[in-house]
Amino acid sequence: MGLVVAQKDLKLESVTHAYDGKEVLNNVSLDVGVGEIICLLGPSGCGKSTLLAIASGIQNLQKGRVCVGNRVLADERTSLPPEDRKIGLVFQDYALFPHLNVFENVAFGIRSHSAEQKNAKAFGALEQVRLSEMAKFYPHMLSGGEQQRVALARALAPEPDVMLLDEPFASLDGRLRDNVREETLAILREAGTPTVVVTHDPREAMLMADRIAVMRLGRLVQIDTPKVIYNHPVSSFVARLMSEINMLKGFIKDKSALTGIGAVSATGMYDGQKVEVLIRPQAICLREPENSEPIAVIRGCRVVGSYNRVEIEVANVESLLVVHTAVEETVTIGEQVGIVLDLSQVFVFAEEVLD
Amino acid sequence: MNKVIRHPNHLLINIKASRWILVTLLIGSFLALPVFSVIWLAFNPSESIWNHLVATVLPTYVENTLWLMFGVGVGTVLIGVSSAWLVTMFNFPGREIFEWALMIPLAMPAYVVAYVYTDFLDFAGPIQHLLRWVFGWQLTSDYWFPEVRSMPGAIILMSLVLYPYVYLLTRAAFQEQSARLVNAGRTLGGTRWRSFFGVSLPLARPAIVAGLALALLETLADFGTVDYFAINTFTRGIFNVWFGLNSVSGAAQIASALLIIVMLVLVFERAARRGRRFYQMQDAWMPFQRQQLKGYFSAVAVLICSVPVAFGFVIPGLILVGHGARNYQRLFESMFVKLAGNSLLLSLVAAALTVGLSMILAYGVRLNDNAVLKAIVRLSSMGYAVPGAVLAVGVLSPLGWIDNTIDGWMRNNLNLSTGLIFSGTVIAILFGYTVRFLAVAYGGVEAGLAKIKPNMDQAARSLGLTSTQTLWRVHMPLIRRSALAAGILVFVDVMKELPMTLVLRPFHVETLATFVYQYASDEMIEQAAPAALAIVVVGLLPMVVLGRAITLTNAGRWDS
Repeated sequence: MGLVVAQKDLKLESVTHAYDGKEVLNNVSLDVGVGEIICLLGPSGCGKSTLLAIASGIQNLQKGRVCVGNRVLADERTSLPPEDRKIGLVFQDYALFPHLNVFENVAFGIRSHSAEQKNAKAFGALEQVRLSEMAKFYPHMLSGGEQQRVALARALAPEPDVMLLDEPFASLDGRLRDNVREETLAILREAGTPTVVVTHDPREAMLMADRIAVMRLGRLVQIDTPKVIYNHPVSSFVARLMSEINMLKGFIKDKSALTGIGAVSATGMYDGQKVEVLIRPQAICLREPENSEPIAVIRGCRVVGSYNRVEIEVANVESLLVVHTAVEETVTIGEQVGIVLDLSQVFVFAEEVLD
Repeated sequence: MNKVIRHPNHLLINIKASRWILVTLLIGSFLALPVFSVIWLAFNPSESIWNHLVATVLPTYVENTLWLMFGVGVGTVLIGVSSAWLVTMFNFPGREIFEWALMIPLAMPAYVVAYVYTDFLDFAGPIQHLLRWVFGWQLTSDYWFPEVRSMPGAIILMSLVLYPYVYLLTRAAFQEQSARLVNAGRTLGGTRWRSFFGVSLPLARPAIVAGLALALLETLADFGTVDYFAINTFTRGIFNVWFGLNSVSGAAQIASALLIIVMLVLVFERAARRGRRFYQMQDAWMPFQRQQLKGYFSAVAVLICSVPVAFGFVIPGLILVGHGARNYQRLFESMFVKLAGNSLLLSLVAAALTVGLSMILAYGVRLNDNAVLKAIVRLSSMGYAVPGAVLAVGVLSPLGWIDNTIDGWMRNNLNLSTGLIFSGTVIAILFGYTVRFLAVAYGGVEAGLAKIKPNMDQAARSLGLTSTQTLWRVHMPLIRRSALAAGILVFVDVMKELPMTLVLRPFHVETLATFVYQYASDEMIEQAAPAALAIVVVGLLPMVVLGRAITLTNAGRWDS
């Protein structure tokens, strides 16, 4: 059974927030469209959870505005309490009510005139997460994945206008996490509710999101599709957040960034400017050494599932560089290799002032 | 196109949000009223007899009270710490039984023990009777026998029933101490003896002080024992001045002086704990390998543990049972049924009131993390430290003022006298009980609430429940057990409470406690034995609850 599609978007407008005079959110605006899934991505303490708390009404809004459709949920004067917002929440620890069984948990938030209608809706939601057989079980009898599905069903059952998920898979591990994420994604897509998922895992964000909103120190630094965020990060911070990456310091000379492994073309910067050159591990190709190329020495190699993680030492570069190579390729520690860069995965940014 | 719709009545929403703050503030301030009215009365006396008091009785009150506190302090710490250390660190015959039994003297109200021992050891009592019969003595002048009704007597008897406060908290502290810490102390070359003084004891100090503070507060609150032994302490002074000299403000002045001593005890407790919080790493806990005691040592351990249990509970209990058995028919007299009914009803209502109000206060604080609110709630639960006699003064004066105001207004405007609506009625005594025992219930309820993660509240709210509905449907079911346990503790405390009941009860209403007091004062403890036994039996209730909690913690299980 599919739930009624809510035709309202979630708008956060210029939200600014401070705890004890310390700013945690600075002028954050976000528009989550109907049927859209947005992942809020950032390191801990970047303000992403606070943003979620403000949207849901757990945290009072200080400055800015929260709207669903054209209904104002909160502005500087008034804040609707969470119970009047029609927002579904899923927590990292699920927060299932331990004194109620699965069915009662799911039925908890359903407002219907008749008990029959209420039961039907609760069963519908349970069926959607394939847990109808466990209706009479209590939360402590369920596995982590099942608990997560109950939490999802419970949040979806009252047919909220918006879904907010705070690190929903953080308590699960490995394969289970992948499976539960797949299922959750399918259910959220079917519901069509505008959804915000908070995560600190870029892989998770890329697997789930229509758009990723990257946050840093209370600000929204980039919001775009996973593809754009990954291939065209706007800053060194975003590039470093999205994957393991090698960073070299250098400076500009003749529209090129000079580093220990050679020059990388860079436009829009002035001569002598200090820069950071970020090189994704798969952008470094190893091959037989030739005279014209920089030479590296293999210092370590690990098979990591679908690729090899190779560490190389390059003259004039302080730290070891990480290279991902195909599993078939064999490397020997101590061997000398030549390196070639795939420039599409190399980014040059002006060096950031320390903050 | 994009016209925004604001909620029609944003003012109403803001009021709704602050409703809990208002209710919490109101209840909190109301409950804090008695303590403040004592202080106010003391500084605004209608007639000042302070100078007279200082010149006459006050020095005696101070001296006696301080001696009593000192003696009971030493006694409870000696018994409590030594027995706690033995049952946690060593293995000896009967250790498991002692672990539980060492706390049961708590079920004995000090005044009951005082009546029983006096009766037993007096000139007319069976012991001296036996001695005279054996040795052929006739008069008191023929031989020497220690006087029970004396300061040392009071100190010993009160230590025997109050040491469990020290025992319980110290034992918990010893248990929580990581075995690794103690073992580390031993690997560094210390013996068990040195690890006790070098590691265990300093680590347990905050707990010992906390237990000692509780025992001292009980000592300060005691009226029945000191009254019976005719030792003029502050509590007895309040009664003397109030009813002997018929001076309420004089009583309030003594009450405030007593309040200062109470504050000193609390400050001392705080100071002993300040800056020395002992966090234990969660994973560092492992059970003690208890050392097996053999021969002589094990006999000493058994002796140390059995003396307080025997003299604090078993012997007085048996004497009471003996008296009770001879007077068992009293149990069926309408008089006794009525007494028991009164006690039961008052205790039940007071338990329900304190638990209910605690729930509101604790939830109010949970909803609004607000410093003023927290301060008010802390003030309102201060009643537990305040002796019942002091609170009685503090309860009666504001209620009397309200009564007179209403009565005056009614007389002037409606030509009608309403008389005493609050102060002479059951409302006064219930108010008194609530103020005195709120902290007991609040502690339990708050601990229960603290175990519920804030996410639970947020989940319920996001699912459409208001804060009040969330309390009913999520918190109440989850803290049912903690609330029940808290209610039982209050129930027992009310059952035992003597001085406040004596003053605040409605005219001609007797409870088990007041009845025992009355009869014992008239040297008729035998007649009152069934009533005293009833109080003791009820007092055993929380021991069962606590006992279960002990076995559960021993098994390392979590219990809501």
